[in-house]
Amino acid sequence: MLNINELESRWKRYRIKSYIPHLVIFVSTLIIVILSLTFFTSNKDQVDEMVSIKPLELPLKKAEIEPREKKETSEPIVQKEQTVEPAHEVEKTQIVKHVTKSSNEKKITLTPSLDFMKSINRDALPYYTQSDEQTPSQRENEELNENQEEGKSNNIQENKIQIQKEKSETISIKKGTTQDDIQHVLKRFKQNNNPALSLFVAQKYYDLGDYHNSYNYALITNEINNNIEESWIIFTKSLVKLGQKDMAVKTLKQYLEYSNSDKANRLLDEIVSGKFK
Amino acid sequence: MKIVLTLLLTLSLYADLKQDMFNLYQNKKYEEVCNTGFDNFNSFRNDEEFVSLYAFACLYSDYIDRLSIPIAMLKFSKEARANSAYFSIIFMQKKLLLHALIDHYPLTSLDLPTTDYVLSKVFDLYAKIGEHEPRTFYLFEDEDDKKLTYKLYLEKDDRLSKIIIEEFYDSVNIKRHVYW
Repeated sequence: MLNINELESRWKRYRIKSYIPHLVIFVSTLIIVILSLTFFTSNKDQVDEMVSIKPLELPLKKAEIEPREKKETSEPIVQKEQTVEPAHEVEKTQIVKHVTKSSNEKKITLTPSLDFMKSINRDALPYYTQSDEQTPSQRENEELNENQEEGKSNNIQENKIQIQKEKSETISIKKGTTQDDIQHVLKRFKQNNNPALSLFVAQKYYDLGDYHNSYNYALITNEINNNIEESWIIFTKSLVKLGQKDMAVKTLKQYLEYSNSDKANRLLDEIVSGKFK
Repeated sequence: MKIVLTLLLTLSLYADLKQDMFNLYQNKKYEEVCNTGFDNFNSFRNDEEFVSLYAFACLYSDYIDRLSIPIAMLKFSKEARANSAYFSIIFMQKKLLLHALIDHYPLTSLDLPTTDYVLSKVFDLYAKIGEHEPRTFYLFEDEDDKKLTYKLYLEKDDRLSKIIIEEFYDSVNIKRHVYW
């Protein structure tokens, strides 16, 4: 008696085994096709790169290629193909030479990336941005502008008189407003980045009661030179005036850690005791 | 509870040290930052911000050899990789310049990237000379600022020779760099 179950299972195994060579051939051809495709596409990219470089040499190439083409027209087509190919090779070598030349001329300059310091500097005090509220200096500016507009019509007449006067007078001394002084000093500060000038601006703004700007310019001064005692004092005073007493005390203490400034010490006592508000 | 407290304490100490180093760095106390970083490097070796800060401090205090570990460690972020490349160029230029000055190795055929660091500038100026007879010192004029000049020479010792680069502004010595 035949064991049908066993025979069937054997037959199944035989069928599966018979598929294996087909499967292997299929998978291997698939791999070959994928590999060849990736290889050709990478080659295409390289060709594209070469093509993208080509326009740099266009004026030269045209001059070189044109006479060749004229010569080639009289020759048979087969020979034409043979002569064209070396021309491409010449072009390729020219491109490589060109690239190496340009790399000699211009050196790559590596620059450090210091963005990581921003994340470390989490305790750093930010600049005050201008809010909708008008600062005293802004108000003064606006008043100045209004006065300027009003006085425009008068100015024309005054100018005429001034020109006549200037002809007769040799020296004229004009006294500018505080705002003019600040603008003038700021112009100079933008040119030479001198901390003495930014300190002057900070002091002027503090005197005008514009504590946002006095804070900002004192901070700028500290960034340029952190050993200017007066700048730290204006900075902390502005902070107190802006209602940031704790921050002012903290800042002043940090400053006192590496400087033995009597003035800063006294100011700290005054802030802590509440004498300075 | 104890574990949480210990964790908090270590975290605060960790942050404090980094912040202290940053404050010192801002006050241009680069050597102090470099030494602090060197002493605590193993505890913070996985923090790229710390490693970068340490590396820049060492660079500005002329401890170029200490850059070798940060060069290998900085690799996980784009910024870290850029800084690693920047440090490695300076590191290589120092080694090549030392080799050239002591053993008269020619640098003319080399076409390396450059940086804004003083050693790179001097390296480029030295490489431009081409093949030459060894000199006791070299004087170079800065390409961007004609008032700025560099004096390059070797300070010879029995065992170790050091590269000295002196910066002069209007013939006044403003800085002296020693590399070995």
